[in-house]
Amino acid sequence: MGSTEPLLTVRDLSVSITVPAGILAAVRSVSFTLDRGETLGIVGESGCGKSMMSMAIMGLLPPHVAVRAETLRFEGMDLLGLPERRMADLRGDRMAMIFQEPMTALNPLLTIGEQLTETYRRHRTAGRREAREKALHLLDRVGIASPERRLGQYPHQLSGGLRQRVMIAMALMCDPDLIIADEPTTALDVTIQAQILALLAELQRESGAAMIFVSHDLGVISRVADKVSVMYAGSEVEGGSTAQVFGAPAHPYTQGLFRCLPNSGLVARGAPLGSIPGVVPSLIGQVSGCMFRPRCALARDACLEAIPTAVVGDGHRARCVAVAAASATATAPQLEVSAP
Amino acid sequence: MIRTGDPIMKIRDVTRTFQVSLGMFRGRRPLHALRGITLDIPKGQVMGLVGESGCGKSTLAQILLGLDRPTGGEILFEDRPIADYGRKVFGSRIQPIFQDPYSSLNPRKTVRQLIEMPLVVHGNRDSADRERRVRRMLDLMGMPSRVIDAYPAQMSGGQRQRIAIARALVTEPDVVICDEPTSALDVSVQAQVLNLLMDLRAEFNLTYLFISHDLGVVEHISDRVAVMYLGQIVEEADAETLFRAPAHPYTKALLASILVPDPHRGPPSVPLKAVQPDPMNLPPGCVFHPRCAEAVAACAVTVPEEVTRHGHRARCTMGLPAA
Repeated sequence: MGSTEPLLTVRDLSVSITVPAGILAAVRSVSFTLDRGETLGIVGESGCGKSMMSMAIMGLLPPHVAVRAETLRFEGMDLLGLPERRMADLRGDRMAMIFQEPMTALNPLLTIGEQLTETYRRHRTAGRREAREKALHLLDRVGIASPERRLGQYPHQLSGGLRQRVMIAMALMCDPDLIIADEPTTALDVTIQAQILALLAELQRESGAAMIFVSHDLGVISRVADKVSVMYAGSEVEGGSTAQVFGAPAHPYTQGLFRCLPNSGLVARGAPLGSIPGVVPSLIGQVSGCMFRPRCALARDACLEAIPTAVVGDGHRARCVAVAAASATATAPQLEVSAP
Repeated sequence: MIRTGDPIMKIRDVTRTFQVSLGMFRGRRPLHALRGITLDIPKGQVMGLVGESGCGKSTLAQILLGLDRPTGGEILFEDRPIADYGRKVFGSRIQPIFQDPYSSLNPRKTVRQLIEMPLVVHGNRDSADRERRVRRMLDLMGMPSRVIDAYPAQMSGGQRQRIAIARALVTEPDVVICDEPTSALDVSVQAQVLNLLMDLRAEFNLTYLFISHDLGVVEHISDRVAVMYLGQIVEEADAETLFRAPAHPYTKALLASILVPDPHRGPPSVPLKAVQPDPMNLPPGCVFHPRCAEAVAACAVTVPEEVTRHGHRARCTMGLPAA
């Protein structure tokens, strides 16, 4: 592996599912790279493909779902070319996942201890004692009091916040290089959410792992990610560093999302929130042009054709005809501070 | 007649205790879900109610809707105990909107049947009148009248929640109990539904009890806010005061957890100790003291009295901040 190669390279990743009505293109041509220690935030609403994309990288999609990519390389390995046996070796070891619902992701019939040590013993030829030591250390590290007692308990005996901490500990058992966290705090109370986010950030800083953090919550993404990809209807519509995307959102969809937030500082208390009219389009069948077009105030005829990627800053990009036209005249549209 | 701003509902020292079975042969133990809730809900205003899961906010909602009875205390609606009203009369004047429009709408009923159901229940036998009211509701919700024969499965989450709102408002209630009404919705749809709720409130002078875990939403929509912790209201004030100058350490921790988008700050550090609150086994003194960042020795012994000043009340040994 060359020293300049990123930990993870994703180029033109597409995921499509055959459904009775045709072919559903859930993810369309998504590209990004990720280095060690870096966090990529993927933000978007239900059905934008953000979870499908993480499952595709982890190789967790069922066989009838077609995953294609020009490049999907992790630690120098071509993930799409790897046999399932090798993928299984990577999962839980070099790459680990933290799911939204710890109650459904944890096995209710196994104790916390069994689930934690299972991963470790599967990937390392380690004895029970060593695995147990590691599990105790990590439970303590994720802030669980009296870890010895917890090892013998079942998931239902733990609160939601504790279960999520167990999930995090489980993901970290083999010191992975890549952590994919899919809405890891969405089911939790706000105070617990803040604590878990701080914990994840700290653990990542210590281990130097890369992280893909998937969330619908702009506030959460802004606090954890180094760079951001905003997804809409299966495609990235805007991407860049977190400071760029949150400081000066360029795509009409991103701008619309910000105006919908009650506490972004853009809308006065009690005043009407901005909203994005219409609903997410169907992703079934051939699609062309900009998928956001039917809901966009800046839509024009050119939006029906191939959509250019406008570069609005160093590494800051937006797939939008209007943004491209505006940046050609060197005046990027600014986010209006008043509600429409 | 209650004037706008005066309490339309008065909750007086309401308690609710469940007897929880500990398993076969191990008997039962009481779980004090509500421990003396006193709250006035002003007419024509939005009362926000926040607190973590298990604090009793949904139990309170159930009791206010007449779906559960308090163990003790009393609830007055327009200054009369709710027991004085017939179940039906009361039911038509106070209506719920629930969190999940996927499970709160019967999938085998059409939009017409769903919205007119409360009218049927309340004895409206004039089908032409019901039809008129249903269509007017759809119009108010900004939905085309052609959806009247559609089924919930044909609709998006936002559309379903509009149907749920239409169903709640068709009996022309005075009070609407909104229990996490936008939590299951995407941000862009949430904004549409919140705007709709605010418009309807203004148009019909509705009173909302707005229960949510999302403090950003509560701050945006509420006139007053009450904070619950382990079955008690620990702080209540007008929204402006509560968000600007919170008194109770728990409120402060909640506010610190709000994640306003900000790329230049990491996850916040929340002034809250990681102790699990257990409603079956309440700590002595102030029930919040094991998690409190500001607790002093007295907090473990003395149960704090409620302190009130200028409509701002808090239940903390430290009292209210100096004015």
